[in-house]
Amino acid sequence: MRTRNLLLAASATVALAAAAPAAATAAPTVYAAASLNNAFPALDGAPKYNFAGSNTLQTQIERGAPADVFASASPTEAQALFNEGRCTRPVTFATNILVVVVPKANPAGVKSVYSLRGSGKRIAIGTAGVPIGNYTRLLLRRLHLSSILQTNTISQEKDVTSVLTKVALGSADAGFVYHTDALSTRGRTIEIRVPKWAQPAVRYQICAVKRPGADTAEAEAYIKKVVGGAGRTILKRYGFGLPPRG
Amino acid sequence: MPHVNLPRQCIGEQRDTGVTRSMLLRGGAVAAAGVLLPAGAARAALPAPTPEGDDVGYVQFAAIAESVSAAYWKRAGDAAAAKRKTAVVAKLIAALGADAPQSDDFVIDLPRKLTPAVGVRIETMLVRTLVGALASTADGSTRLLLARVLSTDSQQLTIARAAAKLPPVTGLPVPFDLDAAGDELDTFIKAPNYPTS
Repeated sequence: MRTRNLLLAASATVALAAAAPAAATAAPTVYAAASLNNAFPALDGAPKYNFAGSNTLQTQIERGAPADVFASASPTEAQALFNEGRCTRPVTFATNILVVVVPKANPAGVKSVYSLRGSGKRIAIGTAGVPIGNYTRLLLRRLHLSSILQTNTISQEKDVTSVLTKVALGSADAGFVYHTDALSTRGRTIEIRVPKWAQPAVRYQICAVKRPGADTAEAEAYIKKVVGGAGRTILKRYGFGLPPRG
Repeated sequence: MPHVNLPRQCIGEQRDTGVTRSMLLRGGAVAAAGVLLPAGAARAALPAPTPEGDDVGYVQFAAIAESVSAAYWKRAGDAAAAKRKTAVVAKLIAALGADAPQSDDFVIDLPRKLTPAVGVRIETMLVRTLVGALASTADGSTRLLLARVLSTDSQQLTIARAAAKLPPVTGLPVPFDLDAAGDELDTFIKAPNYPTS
C-alpha cells in the first residue's frame, strides 16, 4: 500500500513537472521600451521581457522577432507597426515627462536646465531616432537651448537606461531621461524638473503583435492587465502619469 | 571705384526710356490692379511659417500663452478679445504642425479670483516675450507671424491696463527671455497627465 502511494505521489510530481514548462510557454513575449523595465515585471513576472529602445524593438519585430506584445515610449513606433499590419490598433496606457538628472555630487553645479548653457559640460542624451532622443531634441528646441548640443561634450546613448547609467556613474555631468528613470536611481542622482510648458507629450502605446505563431490570446490578456486597474496602480506606483480611462 | 548694381531709378543719369503713352497707361492699370488686390490674396503669396530650429520655442510658448490669454478674456467677459486670441492660437498651432501642443497636454489654471491685474500680467508676459522673440527668430515668415501676434497683444495690453486703471505703456517694453517667461507661464497651466510622485 505504502509503495502504491509513493508511486502515485511520484507520478503526480512528474505530471506537475511536465505541466510547468507548458504553463511557462503560455506567457507572452513582451518587447517593451527600456523605461518600462521596472514597472512591467512588477505587474507580471511571467512573460519573457525584452527591454530596449522602442525603435530598435520596432525594427526587430519588422524582421520577424518572436514578440507577442509591443509597448513603445512614443506613438511613432507602435503606429508604424499598426500601419504595416504588424500589430493591433495601439492604445495609450501611460504618460511621462522629461527631466534632467545629475550625479548626486553634482560636480558641474547644474541647478536648472538653463545651467547647461555655456560650454565644458558632459551631457548624455538619447540618439536621434530613439524616443528619448527625439523628445530631448524637441524639448531643447522649445527651450531655445539646442545650442548646448554644440557647445558641450555630448554622448549619445542607444536608450534611456544607458543615459541614466552614464549619469549615475558620474561619466556625465547631466542627462535627459524620463521622470520614472530618475526615480529608480534616487540616492545616486538628483532630478531637476524642466518647465511644464515646454514638455513634449510623452505617450506610451501598447499593441498585440500580428505574426504567424503569435500568442494572440495571451497578448490580449496581458494588454488588458496593463490598461486595467492593476496596471494603472503599478504604473502610478512607478511614477508614470495615466491617460484618462478609455 | 567698385561697381555696385543699384536699381535703375537710383542712378542719377538721364536715359531715353522709349516709354509710350499706351505703355504708361497699361502700367498704371497693372499698378491699380495691384493696389486693389484683396489683402488676403497678397497674404496668400507669403510662404507659410516654418519655424527653423529653436524658433519653435517662441511659437510653442506663444501658442500656450495665447490660449491662457483667450481663457482669461473669455472669463473676463470680453468675447471679442477671446475670439481674436483664439484665432491667433489657431495660426500658431498651424505653424507648429506635428509639434503643436495637443488639447489634453495642458489645462489652463487661472486664479480663482480674476482681477484686471491678472490680465495685465498675462499680456505683459506675452508682449515682453514676443519683443525678445523677434530679435532671434530665424525664419522670416515665422518672424512676421510673431510680429502680427505682438501687434494684437500690444493692443490687448493697453485694454488690460485701462481695465486695471493703469496708464498705457509708452515705448517698447523690456524683452523677457524665455527662461523667465516660461516660469511665469508655468504658473497659469497644469498638466493633468503628469506623474504625481
